[in-house]
Amino acid sequence: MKNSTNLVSLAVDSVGIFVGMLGWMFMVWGPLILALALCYLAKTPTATSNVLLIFVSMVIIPFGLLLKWLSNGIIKRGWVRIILSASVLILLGIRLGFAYSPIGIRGGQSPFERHLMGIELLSAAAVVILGLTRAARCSGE
Amino acid sequence: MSSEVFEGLKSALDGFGTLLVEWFLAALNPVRKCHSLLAIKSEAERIRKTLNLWAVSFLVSLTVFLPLYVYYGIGLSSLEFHLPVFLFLTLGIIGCGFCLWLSLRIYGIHATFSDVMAIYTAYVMCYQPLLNLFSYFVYFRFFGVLAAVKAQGLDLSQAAHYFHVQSISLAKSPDFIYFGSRLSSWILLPLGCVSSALMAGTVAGRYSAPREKSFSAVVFATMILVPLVVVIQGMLVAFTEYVFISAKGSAALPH
Repeated sequence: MKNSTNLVSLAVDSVGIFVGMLGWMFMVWGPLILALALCYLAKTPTATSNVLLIFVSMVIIPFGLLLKWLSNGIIKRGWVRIILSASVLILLGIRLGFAYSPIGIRGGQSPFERHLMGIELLSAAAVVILGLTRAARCSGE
Repeated sequence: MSSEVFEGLKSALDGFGTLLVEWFLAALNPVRKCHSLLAIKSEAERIRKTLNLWAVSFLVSLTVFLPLYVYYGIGLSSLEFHLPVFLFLTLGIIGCGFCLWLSLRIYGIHATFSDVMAIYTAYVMCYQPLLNLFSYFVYFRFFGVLAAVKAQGLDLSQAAHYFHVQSISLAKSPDFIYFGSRLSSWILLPLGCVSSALMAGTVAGRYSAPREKSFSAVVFATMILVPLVVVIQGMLVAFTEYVFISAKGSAALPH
Protein backbone atom coordinates (compact mmCIF):
# COMPACT_ATOMS: atom_id res chain seq x y z
CA MET A 1 0.00 0.00 0.00
CA LYS A 2 1.57 3.27 -1.03
CA ASN A 3 1.33 6.41 1.03
CA SER A 4 0.27 8.97 -1.55
CA THR A 5 -0.70 11.71 0.85
CA ASN A 6 1.16 14.99 0.71
CA LEU A 7 0.03 18.04 2.64
CA VAL A 8 -1.27 19.98 -0.33
CA SER A 9 -3.40 17.20 -1.79
CA LEU A 10 -4.62 16.42 1.73
CA ALA A 11 -5.79 20.03 2.07
CA VAL A 12 -7.58 19.88 -1.29
CA ASP A 13 -9.20 16.55 -0.41
CA SER A 14 -10.35 18.04 2.90
CA VAL A 15 -12.04 20.89 1.03
CA GLY A 16 -13.68 18.26 -1.21
CA ILE A 17 -14.93 16.43 1.89
CA PHE A 18 -16.26 19.70 3.32
CA VAL A 19 -18.19 20.50 0.14
CA GLY A 20 -19.58 16.94 0.08
CA MET A 21 -20.70 17.28 3.69
CA LEU A 22 -22.45 20.55 2.82
CA GLY A 23 -24.14 18.71 -0.05
CA TRP A 24 -25.59 16.03 2.25
CA MET A 25 -26.52 18.73 4.74
CA PHE A 26 -28.66 20.46 2.12
CA MET A 27 -30.07 17.23 0.71
CA VAL A 28 -31.08 15.48 3.93
CA TRP A 29 -30.76 17.52 7.11
CA GLY A 30 -31.92 20.84 5.60
CA PRO A 31 -35.44 19.67 4.68
CA LEU A 32 -35.67 17.61 7.88
CA ILE A 33 -34.71 20.51 10.14
CA LEU A 34 -37.04 22.81 8.21
CA ALA A 35 -39.91 20.34 8.64
CA LEU A 36 -39.23 20.10 12.38
CA ALA A 37 -39.01 23.89 12.70
CA LEU A 38 -42.30 24.32 10.81
CA CYS A 39 -43.95 21.69 13.02
CA TYR A 40 -42.65 23.51 16.09
CA LEU A 41 -43.87 26.90 14.86
CA ALA A 42 -47.22 25.88 13.35
CA LYS A 43 -47.98 23.09 15.90
CA THR A 44 -50.05 21.22 13.26
CA PRO A 45 -49.12 20.94 9.55
CA THR A 46 -51.02 23.55 7.56
CA ALA A 47 -51.31 24.07 3.79
CA THR A 48 -48.98 27.08 3.99
CA SER A 49 -46.29 25.20 5.91
CA ASN A 50 -46.54 22.22 3.52
CA VAL A 51 -46.21 24.47 0.47
CA LEU A 52 -43.29 26.30 2.07
CA LEU A 53 -41.56 23.00 2.90
CA ILE A 54 -42.05 21.62 -0.63
CA PHE A 55 -40.94 24.89 -2.25
CA VAL A 56 -37.77 25.20 -0.13
CA SER A 57 -36.98 21.48 -0.56
CA MET A 58 -37.29 21.84 -4.33
CA VAL A 59 -34.54 24.46 -4.15
CA ILE A 60 -32.18 23.02 -1.55
CA ILE A 61 -32.21 19.35 -2.57
CA PRO A 62 -30.95 20.06 -6.13
CA PHE A 63 -28.49 22.51 -4.59
CA GLY A 64 -27.21 19.70 -2.36
CA LEU A 65 -26.87 17.44 -5.42
CA LEU A 66 -24.89 20.19 -7.15
CA LEU A 67 -22.55 20.45 -4.15
CA LYS A 68 -22.02 16.68 -4.15
CA TRP A 69 -21.14 16.82 -7.86
CA LEU A 70 -18.73 19.69 -7.16
CA SER A 71 -17.19 17.72 -4.28
CA ASN A 72 -16.41 14.84 -6.65
CA GLY A 73 -14.90 17.41 -9.02
CA ILE A 74 -12.53 18.65 -6.32
CA ILE A 75 -11.49 15.07 -5.49
CA LYS A 76 -10.78 14.43 -9.20
CA ARG A 77 -9.08 17.86 -9.51
CA GLY A 78 -11.45 19.03 -12.24
CA TRP A 79 -10.83 22.71 -12.90
CA VAL A 80 -14.31 23.82 -13.94
CA ARG A 81 -15.92 22.23 -10.93
CA ILE A 82 -13.27 23.65 -8.60
CA ILE A 83 -13.92 27.19 -9.83
CA LEU A 84 -17.68 26.58 -9.58
CA SER A 85 -17.42 25.20 -6.05
CA ALA A 86 -15.23 28.10 -4.95
CA SER A 87 -17.88 30.51 -6.28
CA VAL A 88 -20.67 28.60 -4.51
CA LEU A 89 -18.70 28.60 -1.26
CA ILE A 90 -18.18 32.35 -1.57
CA LEU A 91 -21.90 32.95 -2.07
CA LEU A 92 -22.80 30.60 0.78
CA GLY A 93 -20.23 32.16 3.06
CA ILE A 94 -21.56 35.65 2.44
CA ARG A 95 -25.09 34.57 3.22
CA LEU A 96 -24.56 32.11 6.06
CA GLY A 97 -21.07 32.30 7.46
CA PHE A 98 -20.26 35.88 8.22
CA ALA A 99 -23.42 37.91 7.74
CA TYR A 100 -24.91 36.67 11.00
CA SER A 101 -21.82 35.91 13.05
CA PRO A 102 -22.12 37.09 16.67
CA ILE A 103 -18.75 38.84 16.38
CA GLY A 104 -20.14 40.96 13.55
CA ILE A 105 -23.30 41.78 15.49
CA ARG A 106 -21.34 42.83 18.56
CA GLY A 107 -18.98 44.89 16.50
CA GLY A 108 -21.88 47.18 15.54
CA GLN A 109 -21.09 46.97 11.81
CA SER A 110 -23.70 47.64 9.18
CA PRO A 111 -25.02 44.64 7.19
CA PHE A 112 -23.16 45.95 4.12
CA GLU A 113 -19.85 46.01 6.00
CA ARG A 114 -20.42 42.51 7.31
CA HIS A 115 -21.21 41.23 3.82
CA LEU A 116 -18.11 42.96 2.53
CA MET A 117 -16.00 41.27 5.22
CA GLY A 118 -17.51 37.94 4.16
CA ILE A 119 -16.67 38.58 0.52
CA GLU A 120 -13.06 39.53 1.34
CA LEU A 121 -12.42 36.54 3.62
CA LEU A 122 -14.06 34.02 1.32
CA SER A 123 -12.37 35.41 -1.77
CA ALA A 124 -9.09 34.87 0.05
CA ALA A 125 -10.21 31.31 0.92
CA ALA A 126 -11.14 30.68 -2.73
CA VAL A 127 -7.73 31.88 -3.89
CA VAL A 128 -6.10 29.54 -1.38
CA ILE A 129 -8.25 26.60 -2.59
CA LEU A 130 -7.38 27.29 -6.22
CA GLY A 131 -3.69 27.73 -5.41
CA LEU A 132 -3.57 24.53 -3.38
CA THR A 133 -5.34 22.59 -6.12
CA ARG A 134 -2.91 23.87 -8.71
CA ALA A 135 0.00 22.93 -6.45
CA ALA A 136 -1.52 19.49 -5.81
CA ARG A 137 -1.86 18.90 -9.54
CA CYS A 138 1.70 20.03 -10.19
CA SER A 139 3.12 17.83 -7.41
CA GLY A 140 1.14 14.87 -8.79
CA GLU A 141 2.53 15.28 -12.31
CA MET B 1 4.30 -10.66 49.42
CA SER B 2 5.15 -6.96 49.24
CA SER B 3 7.88 -7.62 46.67
CA GLU B 4 5.32 -9.49 44.51
CA VAL B 5 2.97 -6.51 44.70
CA PHE B 6 5.85 -4.19 43.87
CA GLU B 7 6.89 -6.34 40.89
CA GLY B 8 3.28 -6.49 39.67
CA LEU B 9 2.91 -2.73 40.00
CA LYS B 10 6.22 -2.18 38.22
CA SER B 11 5.29 -4.40 35.28
CA ALA B 12 1.83 -2.75 35.07
CA LEU B 13 3.43 0.71 35.02
CA ASP B 14 5.96 -0.44 32.41
CA GLY B 15 3.13 -1.79 30.25
CA PHE B 16 1.12 1.40 30.61
CA GLY B 17 4.18 3.52 29.86
CA THR B 18 4.77 1.56 26.67
CA LEU B 19 1.14 2.03 25.63
CA LEU B 20 1.30 5.74 26.43
CA VAL B 21 4.40 6.19 24.26
CA GLU B 22 2.71 4.17 21.51
CA TRP B 23 -0.35 6.47 21.68
CA PHE B 24 1.83 9.58 21.64
CA LEU B 25 3.73 8.37 18.57
CA ALA B 26 0.42 7.45 16.92
CA ALA B 27 -0.94 10.94 17.56
CA LEU B 28 2.23 12.46 16.10
CA ASN B 29 2.08 10.36 12.94
CA PRO B 30 -1.39 8.83 12.44
CA VAL B 31 -0.63 7.71 8.88
CA ARG B 32 2.29 5.56 9.99
CA LYS B 33 0.29 4.14 12.92
CA CYS B 34 -2.65 3.34 10.69
CA HIS B 35 -0.44 1.55 8.20
CA SER B 36 1.28 -0.43 10.98
CA LEU B 37 -2.14 -1.50 12.33
CA LEU B 38 -3.28 -2.51 8.85
CA ALA B 39 -0.08 -4.48 8.31
CA ILE B 40 -0.96 -6.87 11.17
CA LYS B 41 -2.03 -10.16 9.62
CA SER B 42 -4.30 -11.52 12.37
CA GLU B 43 -7.65 -9.73 12.66
CA ALA B 44 -7.95 -10.47 16.39
CA GLU B 45 -4.50 -9.00 17.02
CA ARG B 46 -5.37 -5.91 14.94
CA ILE B 47 -8.55 -5.32 16.97
CA ARG B 48 -6.64 -5.86 20.23
CA LYS B 49 -4.01 -3.27 19.24
CA THR B 50 -6.74 -0.88 18.10
CA LEU B 51 -8.58 -1.18 21.41
CA ASN B 52 -5.30 -0.66 23.31
CA LEU B 53 -4.78 2.57 21.43
CA TRP B 54 -8.34 3.67 22.20
CA ALA B 55 -8.03 2.74 25.91
CA VAL B 56 -4.94 4.95 26.33
CA SER B 57 -6.64 7.74 24.39
CA PHE B 58 -9.64 7.45 26.75
CA LEU B 59 -7.41 7.61 29.84
CA VAL B 60 -5.64 10.72 28.58
CA SER B 61 -8.92 12.39 27.66
CA LEU B 62 -10.29 11.49 31.10
CA THR B 63 -7.27 13.20 32.65
CA VAL B 64 -7.96 16.28 30.53
CA PHE B 65 -11.55 16.42 31.79
CA LEU B 66 -10.79 15.51 35.40
CA PRO B 67 -10.76 19.12 36.76
CA LEU B 68 -14.14 19.70 35.13
CA TYR B 69 -15.55 16.48 36.54
CA VAL B 70 -14.20 17.27 40.02
CA TYR B 71 -15.68 20.78 39.82
CA TYR B 72 -19.07 19.21 39.18
CA GLY B 73 -18.68 16.65 41.97
CA ILE B 74 -17.51 13.58 40.02
CA GLY B 75 -14.20 12.30 41.39
CA LEU B 76 -11.70 9.89 39.91
CA SER B 77 -12.87 7.21 42.37
CA SER B 78 -16.45 7.26 40.96
CA LEU B 79 -15.98 4.04 39.02
CA GLU B 80 -19.75 3.65 38.70
CA PHE B 81 -19.62 6.81 36.54
CA HIS B 82 -16.40 6.25 34.60
CA LEU B 83 -17.07 2.62 33.66
CA PRO B 84 -20.44 3.25 31.93
CA VAL B 85 -18.99 6.30 30.17
CA PHE B 86 -16.06 4.20 28.92
CA LEU B 87 -18.50 1.50 27.80
CA PHE B 88 -20.77 3.97 25.97
CA LEU B 89 -17.83 5.64 24.24
CA THR B 90 -16.38 2.28 23.22
CA LEU B 91 -19.77 1.15 21.90
CA GLY B 92 -19.94 4.50 20.11
CA ILE B 93 -16.62 3.79 18.38
CA ILE B 94 -17.79 0.34 17.37
CA GLY B 95 -21.06 1.88 16.13
CA CYS B 96 -19.26 4.56 14.12
CA GLY B 97 -16.89 1.92 12.71
CA PHE B 98 -19.92 -0.14 11.71
CA CYS B 99 -21.49 2.91 10.00
CA LEU B 100 -18.29 3.50 8.06
CA TRP B 101 -18.05 -0.17 7.12
CA LEU B 102 -21.71 -0.21 6.01
CA SER B 103 -21.28 2.96 3.98
CA LEU B 104 -18.22 1.50 2.22
CA ARG B 105 -20.26 -1.61 1.41
CA ILE B 106 -23.09 0.54 0.02
CA TYR B 107 -20.56 2.23 -2.27
CA GLY B 108 -19.18 -1.16 -3.35
CA ILE B 109 -15.94 -1.24 -1.33
CA HIS B 110 -15.69 -4.53 0.56
CA ALA B 111 -13.52 -3.50 3.50
CA THR B 112 -13.16 -5.73 6.56
CA PHE B 113 -14.56 -4.49 9.86
CA SER B 114 -11.22 -4.70 11.67
CA ASP B 115 -9.58 -2.56 8.97
CA VAL B 116 -12.27 0.08 9.29
CA MET B 117 -11.98 0.09 13.09
CA ALA B 118 -8.20 0.46 12.86
CA ILE B 119 -8.48 3.33 10.35
CA TYR B 120 -11.19 5.10 12.37
CA THR B 121 -9.29 4.78 15.65
CA ALA B 122 -5.97 5.90 14.20
CA TYR B 123 -7.37 8.97 12.44
CA VAL B 124 -10.23 10.01 14.71
CA MET B 125 -10.48 8.42 18.14
CA CYS B 126 -6.77 8.71 18.81
CA TYR B 127 -7.43 12.47 19.05
CA GLN B 128 -10.17 12.25 21.70
CA PRO B 129 -8.00 14.18 24.22
CA LEU B 130 -7.59 17.00 21.68
CA LEU B 131 -11.33 16.97 21.07
CA ASN B 132 -11.92 17.21 24.82
CA LEU B 133 -9.48 20.08 25.07
CA PHE B 134 -11.25 22.00 22.31
CA SER B 135 -14.65 21.15 23.78
CA TYR B 136 -13.72 22.38 27.25
CA PHE B 137 -15.76 25.56 27.01
CA VAL B 138 -18.76 23.75 25.55
CA TYR B 139 -18.68 21.11 28.27
CA PHE B 140 -18.19 23.68 31.02
CA ARG B 141 -21.42 25.40 29.94
CA PHE B 142 -23.18 22.11 29.22
CA PHE B 143 -22.42 20.76 32.69
CA GLY B 144 -23.61 24.06 34.18
CA VAL B 145 -26.96 23.80 32.41
CA LEU B 146 -27.20 20.09 33.29
CA ALA B 147 -26.58 20.87 36.97
CA ALA B 148 -29.25 23.60 36.85
CA VAL B 149 -31.68 21.13 35.26
CA LYS B 150 -30.96 18.65 38.04
CA ALA B 151 -31.31 21.31 40.76
CA GLN B 152 -34.73 22.33 39.39
CA GLY B 153 -35.85 18.71 38.92
CA LEU B 154 -37.01 19.25 35.31
CA ASP B 155 -38.28 16.40 33.14
CA LEU B 156 -36.90 15.63 29.65
CA SER B 157 -39.12 18.02 27.64
CA GLN B 158 -38.68 20.80 30.22
CA ALA B 159 -34.93 20.17 30.16
CA ALA B 160 -34.87 20.44 26.35
CA HIS B 161 -36.80 23.73 26.57
CA TYR B 162 -34.43 24.99 29.28
CA PHE B 163 -31.40 24.17 27.07
CA HIS B 164 -33.06 26.05 24.18
CA VAL B 165 -33.80 29.11 26.32
CA GLN B 166 -30.26 29.10 27.74
CA SER B 167 -28.68 28.92 24.28
CA ILE B 168 -30.78 31.89 23.10
CA SER B 169 -29.93 34.00 26.15
CA LEU B 170 -26.23 33.13 25.79
CA ALA B 171 -26.26 34.14 22.12
CA LYS B 172 -27.82 37.48 23.08
CA SER B 173 -25.19 38.26 25.70
CA PRO B 174 -22.11 36.31 24.61
CA ASP B 175 -19.18 35.99 27.01
CA PHE B 176 -15.71 34.51 26.58
CA ILE B 177 -17.02 30.97 27.12
CA TYR B 178 -19.49 31.49 24.27
CA PHE B 179 -16.80 32.83 21.95
CA GLY B 180 -14.42 30.09 23.08
CA SER B 181 -16.91 27.39 22.15
CA ARG B 182 -17.60 29.03 18.76
CA LEU B 183 -13.88 29.27 18.07
CA SER B 184 -13.38 25.63 19.07
CA SER B 185 -16.11 24.48 16.69
CA TRP B 186 -14.49 26.47 13.88
CA ILE B 187 -11.17 24.76 14.59
CA LEU B 188 -12.72 21.30 14.91
CA LEU B 189 -14.53 21.48 11.56
CA PRO B 190 -11.37 21.61 9.38
CA LEU B 191 -9.69 19.03 11.62
CA GLY B 192 -12.67 16.72 11.09
CA CYS B 193 -12.46 17.23 7.33
CA VAL B 194 -8.72 16.41 7.36
CA SER B 195 -9.38 13.20 9.37
CA SER B 196 -12.13 12.18 6.95
CA ALA B 197 -9.87 12.86 3.96
CA LEU B 198 -7.13 10.71 5.53
CA MET B 199 -9.58 7.87 6.14
CA ALA B 200 -10.95 8.02 2.61
CA GLY B 201 -7.45 8.19 1.10
CA THR B 202 -6.28 5.19 3.13
CA VAL B 203 -9.34 3.12 2.16
CA ALA B 204 -8.87 4.01 -1.52
CA GLY B 205 -5.19 3.01 -1.34
CA ARG B 206 -5.71 -0.25 0.57
CA TYR B 207 -8.60 -1.57 -1.52
CA SER B 208 -7.52 -0.03 -4.85
CA ALA B 209 -10.93 1.61 -5.03
CA PRO B 210 -11.74 4.76 -7.05
CA ARG B 211 -11.10 7.81 -4.92
CA GLU B 212 -14.52 9.36 -5.60
CA LYS B 213 -16.18 6.21 -4.27
CA SER B 214 -14.22 6.04 -1.04
CA PHE B 215 -14.58 9.79 -0.45
CA SER B 216 -18.32 9.66 -1.13
CA ALA B 217 -18.67 6.69 1.22
CA VAL B 218 -16.83 8.47 4.03
CA VAL B 219 -18.89 11.65 3.54
CA PHE B 220 -22.13 9.65 3.49
CA ALA B 221 -21.15 7.82 6.69
CA THR B 222 -20.06 11.04 8.41
CA MET B 223 -23.14 13.04 7.51
CA ILE B 224 -25.94 10.50 7.51
CA LEU B 225 -25.12 7.35 9.49
CA VAL B 226 -22.67 8.46 12.20
CA PRO B 227 -24.89 11.30 13.58
CA LEU B 228 -27.54 8.72 14.48
CA VAL B 229 -25.02 6.71 16.55
CA VAL B 230 -23.52 9.87 18.06
CA VAL B 231 -26.94 11.16 19.18
CA ILE B 232 -27.81 7.89 20.96
CA GLN B 233 -24.35 7.63 22.53
CA GLY B 234 -24.41 11.32 23.52
CA MET B 235 -27.78 10.92 25.23
CA LEU B 236 -26.56 7.88 27.17
CA VAL B 237 -23.42 9.72 28.31
CA ALA B 238 -25.44 12.86 29.14
CA PHE B 239 -27.87 10.80 31.22
CA THR B 240 -24.96 9.22 33.14
CA GLU B 241 -23.52 12.69 33.75
CA TYR B 242 -26.95 13.92 34.85
CA VAL B 243 -27.18 11.10 37.41
CA PHE B 244 -23.78 11.79 38.94
CA ILE B 245 -23.43 15.56 38.56
CA SER B 246 -23.61 17.78 41.60
CA ALA B 247 -26.39 20.41 41.49
CA LYS B 248 -24.10 23.07 42.98
CA GLY B 249 -22.24 23.30 39.68
CA SER B 250 -25.04 25.42 38.19
CA ALA B 251 -23.24 28.38 39.76
CA ALA B 252 -21.05 28.26 36.62
CA LEU B 253 -23.93 29.71 34.60
CA PRO B 254 -24.08 33.47 33.98
CA HIS B 255 -26.67 35.37 36.02
